Amino acid sequence: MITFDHPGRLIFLLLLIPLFYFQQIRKQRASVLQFPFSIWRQVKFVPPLYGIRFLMAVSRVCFWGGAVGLILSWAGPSYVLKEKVYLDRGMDIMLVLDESPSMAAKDFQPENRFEAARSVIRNFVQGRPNDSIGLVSFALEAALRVPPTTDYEYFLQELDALSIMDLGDGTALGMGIAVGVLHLKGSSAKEKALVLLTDGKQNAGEILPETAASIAAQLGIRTYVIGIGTPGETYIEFTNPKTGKQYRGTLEGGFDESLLRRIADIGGGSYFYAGNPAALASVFQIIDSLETYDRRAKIQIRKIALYGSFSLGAFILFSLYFLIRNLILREVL
Amino acid sequence: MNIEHPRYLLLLGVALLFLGVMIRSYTRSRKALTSLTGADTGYKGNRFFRRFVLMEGTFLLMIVCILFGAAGFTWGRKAVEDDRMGVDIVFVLDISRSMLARDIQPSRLGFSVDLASSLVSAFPEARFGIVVFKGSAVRAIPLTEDRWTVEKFLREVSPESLGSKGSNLNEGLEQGLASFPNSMGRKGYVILLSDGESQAPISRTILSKYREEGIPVFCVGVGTPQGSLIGDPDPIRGKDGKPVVSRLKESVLQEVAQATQGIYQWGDTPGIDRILWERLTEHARDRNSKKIRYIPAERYGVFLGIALLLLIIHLGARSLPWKDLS
Repeated sequence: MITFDHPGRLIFLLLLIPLFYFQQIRKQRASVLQFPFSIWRQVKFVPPLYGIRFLMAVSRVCFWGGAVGLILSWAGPSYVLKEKVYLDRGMDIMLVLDESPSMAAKDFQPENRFEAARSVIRNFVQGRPNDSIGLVSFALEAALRVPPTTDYEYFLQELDALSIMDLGDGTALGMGIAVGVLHLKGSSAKEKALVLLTDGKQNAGEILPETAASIAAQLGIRTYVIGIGTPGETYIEFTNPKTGKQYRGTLEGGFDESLLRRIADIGGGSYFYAGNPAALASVFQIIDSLETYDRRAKIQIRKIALYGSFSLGAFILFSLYFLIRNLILREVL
Repeated sequence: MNIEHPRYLLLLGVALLFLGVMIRSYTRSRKALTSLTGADTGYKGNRFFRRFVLMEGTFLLMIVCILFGAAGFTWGRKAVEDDRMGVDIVFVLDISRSMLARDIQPSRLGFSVDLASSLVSAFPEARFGIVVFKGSAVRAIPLTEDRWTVEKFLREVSPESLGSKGSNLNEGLEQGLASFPNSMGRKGYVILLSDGESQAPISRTILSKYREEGIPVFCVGVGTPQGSLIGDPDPIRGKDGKPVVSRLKESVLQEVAQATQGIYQWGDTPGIDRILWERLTEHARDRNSKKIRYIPAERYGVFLGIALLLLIIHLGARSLPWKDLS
């Protein structure tokens, strides 16, 4: 929406009406020199002179358009943007994502488990305005990818940069949780949660998942655990990002459900099973609804000044008027 | 005084062109009038000249005033509402090769990192982000409360953290601004730690965006105006084979600070961390208590108002009977 900083100045548009009348409508003016066409260079004019009349009309439109543009720009036009500004500190959520090779299993269509998880996380983040969201990934090792932040553009960029087996071959569940907890530790948020998403069993790392979940609970961090994948044999295919080597094969066995349940219980959260992409999306919706709170927000108005563009428009119109009159019509005052 | 859109002033060249067209038109018109009315009709000479100057002069001046208005001159300040609470600080850290110079101890980069670390400790409730730049810039750490990550990054940063060559301050400032997400309702500050060497002049557009967002840039000049060789014991050499001397460009950093209503401080000032802490705290407290912030007052209204007046005079002159000009 366009508004004006000085709307009172728009009244000067009314001034253009008498000026227009005296300039364009009232014909009998002593300011006009009238000469018979026949004496001009002894050449007889051939009426009705459509081209010249058209150019004169264009020049008039440009002139009065420029005058309107000048008054509008003087009134300070601005483009108004309405933005929602949150008045409270949101909660902190750390997403801990398994990126071990088994996440390349093709039982989650159209791509694989990892891509399904990535897609659901992307939607989840976009639905949590004002919450600081962080990302930890783990396989043989665990690493912080994004500290808890409200910079979702950065978050999504880093999420897209993740690749399977970037952190080796293994599943260090305990390390993943521990790294997530470490980076939530100093947070001033009243509510903190950690969401662990895995398809495997703990087979690496020096920290037991139960120990990490217990520390999380002590620090007031709720731990949600999502086990993904289908039982039985699954086809797997992926490319090692470091070597470029392609791996193909079948995968047998899934996650240790009892361990995941235990982690959720110790961590004060819940355990969920997702056997397909739709179920995974539903699980994230449930977590989203579990972690709700009242958000106080106000609408903030932001103005983008447009006087520069309006003035430039007026300048262009006046320039066209000037050039038509002087270079094409060759007006004699 | 500042100019928001200086590029519009380039169009003053068009106004000069118009002046040329007007002079040519004046000569042509006088000749035409003489041939039409004869030598003694009184429509030429002084009367014609006065009418010409009044009409065309006011038109030309009006064009100039419109361009001045469009350029967005600012002087003085005006208060605007500001109820943002909490503080977000983004360090824009120069990691170009020139930051390895040792004219400030332990090195320009080492000094910058130490200063940033001490400020992270000094503001326990703030969120911090880090942008690093050389020939390009990246958001290394997004705004976060996670000090551990911020401090770890500061300990590890080096010129090798980015592959690009050169030093592009504009890119750094642009990424610094992009680090502040919209709708957060917090006060934003950028602390620029640099020697001011940049391969391109500072972009006015970026500086004006900082002003619009109300984000001041606190600039810390790292290095000395006398300069120093880069690299020890084998200094970097230029194309001519002579060792390159890198100097602190204070004027560049002062320009950034002034244009964004921040401050400039020379890095080697004793107690620089305390000074910066005090200035930042004072600035934030001032904004908290008054709930207002000051922005440069735009003066387009003055020029466009004069332009409108000149337009009215121009139209009046057009309506003047010829005989009244004698």
